[in-house]
Amino acid sequence: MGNILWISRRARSVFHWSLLLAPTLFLLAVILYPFLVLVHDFPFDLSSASITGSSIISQLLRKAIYNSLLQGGASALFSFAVGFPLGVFVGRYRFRLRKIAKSLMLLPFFLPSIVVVIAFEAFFQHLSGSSTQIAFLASFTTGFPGIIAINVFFNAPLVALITSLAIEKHDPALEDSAKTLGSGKLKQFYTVWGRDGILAGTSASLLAFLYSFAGFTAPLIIGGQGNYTFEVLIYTLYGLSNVSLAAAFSVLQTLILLIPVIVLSLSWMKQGRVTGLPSEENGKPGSGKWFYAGLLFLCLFIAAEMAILASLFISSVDIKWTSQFSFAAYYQLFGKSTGYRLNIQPFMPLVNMLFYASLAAGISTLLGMAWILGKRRLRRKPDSPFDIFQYIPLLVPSVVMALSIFIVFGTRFPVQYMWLLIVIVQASVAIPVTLRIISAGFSRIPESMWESASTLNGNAFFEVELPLAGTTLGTSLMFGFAIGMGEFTATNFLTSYSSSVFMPLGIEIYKLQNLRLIAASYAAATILLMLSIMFFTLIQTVGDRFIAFR
Amino acid sequence: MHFVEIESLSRKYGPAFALEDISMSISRGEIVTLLGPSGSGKTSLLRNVCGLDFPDSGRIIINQRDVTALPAERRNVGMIFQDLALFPHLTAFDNIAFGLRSKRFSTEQIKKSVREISDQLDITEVLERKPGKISGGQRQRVALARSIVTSPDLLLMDEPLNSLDPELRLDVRNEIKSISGRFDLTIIYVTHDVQEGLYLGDRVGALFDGRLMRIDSRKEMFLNPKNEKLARFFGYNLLDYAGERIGVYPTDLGIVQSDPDITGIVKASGFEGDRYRIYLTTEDGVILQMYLPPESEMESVSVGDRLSLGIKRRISIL
Repeated sequence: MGNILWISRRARSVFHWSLLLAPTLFLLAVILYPFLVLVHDFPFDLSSASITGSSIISQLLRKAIYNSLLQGGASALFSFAVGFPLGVFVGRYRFRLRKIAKSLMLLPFFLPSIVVVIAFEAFFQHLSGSSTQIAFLASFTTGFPGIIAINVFFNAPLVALITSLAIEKHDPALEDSAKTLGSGKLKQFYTVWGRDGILAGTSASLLAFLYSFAGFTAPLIIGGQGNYTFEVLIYTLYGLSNVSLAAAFSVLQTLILLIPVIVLSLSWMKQGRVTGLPSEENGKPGSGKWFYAGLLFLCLFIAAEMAILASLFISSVDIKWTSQFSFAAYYQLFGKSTGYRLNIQPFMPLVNMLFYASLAAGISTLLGMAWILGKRRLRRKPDSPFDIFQYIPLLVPSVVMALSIFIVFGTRFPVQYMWLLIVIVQASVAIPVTLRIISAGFSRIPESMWESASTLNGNAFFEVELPLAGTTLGTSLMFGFAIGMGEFTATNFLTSYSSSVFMPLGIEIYKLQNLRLIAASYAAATILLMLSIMFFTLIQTVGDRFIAFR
Repeated sequence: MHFVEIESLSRKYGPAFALEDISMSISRGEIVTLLGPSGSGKTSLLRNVCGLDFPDSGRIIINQRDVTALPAERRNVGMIFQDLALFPHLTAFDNIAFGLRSKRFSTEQIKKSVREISDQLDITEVLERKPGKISGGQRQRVALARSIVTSPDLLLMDEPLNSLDPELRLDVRNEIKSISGRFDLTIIYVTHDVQEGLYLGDRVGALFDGRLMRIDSRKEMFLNPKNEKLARFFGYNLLDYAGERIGVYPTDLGIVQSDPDITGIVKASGFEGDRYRIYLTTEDGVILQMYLPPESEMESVSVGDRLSLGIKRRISIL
């Protein structure tokens, strides 16, 4: 009897370990293994492409390193410059409509990159064309300034959000204590209430660097050859059938990213140990010159954001902004001729997108649930070094991920199952975010809850933890869906090099641009924008707000 | 054989013993309180007894069943946690019914049992409310009802009164005492509050550093702790007197005019309503605590005064 019980306990422990390891094994199988196979099967001697060499490969390498570092660095710097003051303001002050202002501020980060690129194009082209005095604004639709502007538009809200959450967490009593000890306002900021915000803002800028270093959509669409990053170059090299070189650049890019990813992961783990949660009630009542300066800055940012996004919608019904509205762009988008030129049924990109995003959301959330269940039953720490494997998707950027998975699995897959690879990649990209959402949500359920359910002979997970974490799981599903919906880089690679019938809406926008069907691309981008805003609003109202970044 | 037998129970976390060779027996209907400082192994012992953790060696027998290797859900042991662990998404009724439903009782049986226990504990009016909407005392009673409605062989309570204010704490303490008698419950009650432990327990056990130092009747335990750690935990002053190590309770020290047993210099003193509390240092540097009745003439005593002290009762420390 004793032995049987011992074996049953061991079996239960093995089961919990397998749950805990589920997302890691998934990521190792679908990202790391294909990547290692890529490295192994396509060896390329980079010594012939030394940075100082004069061969074409050396020049390409130099350019890729330079562009990626420059775009990553400049985007991180400007994102911090814009996002940090915004974050300090919304984290520091309590004011009417603060919640809505925060939501509007965060919106760009939630949008698919292709939508932001097309919205920039729509806005700045029309604005610069409207007056010769502001013609310089056209530069924001092309080349280096355009890429940086888009990266900042995308990442500044992230920096602002992470900064504000850290500032909201600070204990007001510490500030009062510093005041009574005679500390000046500046010192109070950098040693007491703003200290965590500075650290959080800096780590968020590092995240902005990672996203921009591995930028793809903006450099591909508006960058031109002179601004190609590693990601775009790898994508192009594969298109030119130079797989070995694409593989070599993939390895190099991953090696370069290794250091910032490790620094970022360690910083997240350290910040994760900060006690207390941000609250909407935290913050000082708004008054004084710093408050009004911050409020003005926030209003300007939101106004610019709204103008850029509105311009996309306007362009979809009135492409020349002549006040002659029509739905011609939408008819064109769903017309047979467009479908014929794209080689896909008119409504299929929309259906594909919803299908992939639903599956990606389901897979990433299921893996997250398995992971958290294993973690809780084995009483593992919320953030252990072991969880670093969950950040593999940050280390192996999307194009590299798509390239590896396509070479390893895609070439063996019958083409009709290629959609599965798209779903896998989208789920992998969503995992780091959904796991953080789930972890944060479950961490609020005391262990004594499930222990109590166990002593009462109940099913702790289904009867107690799942009902209590309902909104968390809903948020995770919605985030997973939104990430799947907006994923452009890997999906573009996989659909471009397989079959157009798997094309989702985001990729259709890009293809429409390439076919110069600009009006239809605006219409498609507007649909994607509306869907994204709908999910964003749902998350903000129903789900655990901003929980992903706690 | 006793109703509950714990035999040579040991549990290690890493190289350190959380529990070391613990043995105790408890009779049916008895309340045993376990006293000890934080980190002494009290909660670890409860977790091993209820099956949320498993010992490395030793046996646990409850109601003639060896439950050592059984998981929590098969031990028929109830547990009330420090934070009560009431499920916030369920009403008080559903919280109480949780265990009954898990045991597949019929709906009618569940309703009847929940109503009966709620009547007994005077919580009928809050049955439809969720835990967040009821008072602290009612929450305690709901947690108690949830744990005893399934008729557990043994009820474990892990410092359940910690979160209550002092007045409510006394009320709930009385309630536990009265309910345990009415339901003939066998209870292991864990606390670090000496008064609470002595009041509730028929017998008291003292845990230090994962070892059960002693288990005895509450009176014998308090009046004759024998051991230095235990005496200190109960609040005795420890000092060397006439070549002997002794313990003196603060109320057993008094001011004398002549022929003092010891002298001390006042370091601090204050009036607490029902007594004066005075801290003194002896010539050997030992810090003593003394309680004097409120009618004592202590208002003129100030820091630095030398007092002559007499010892009314002392105990030998081994």
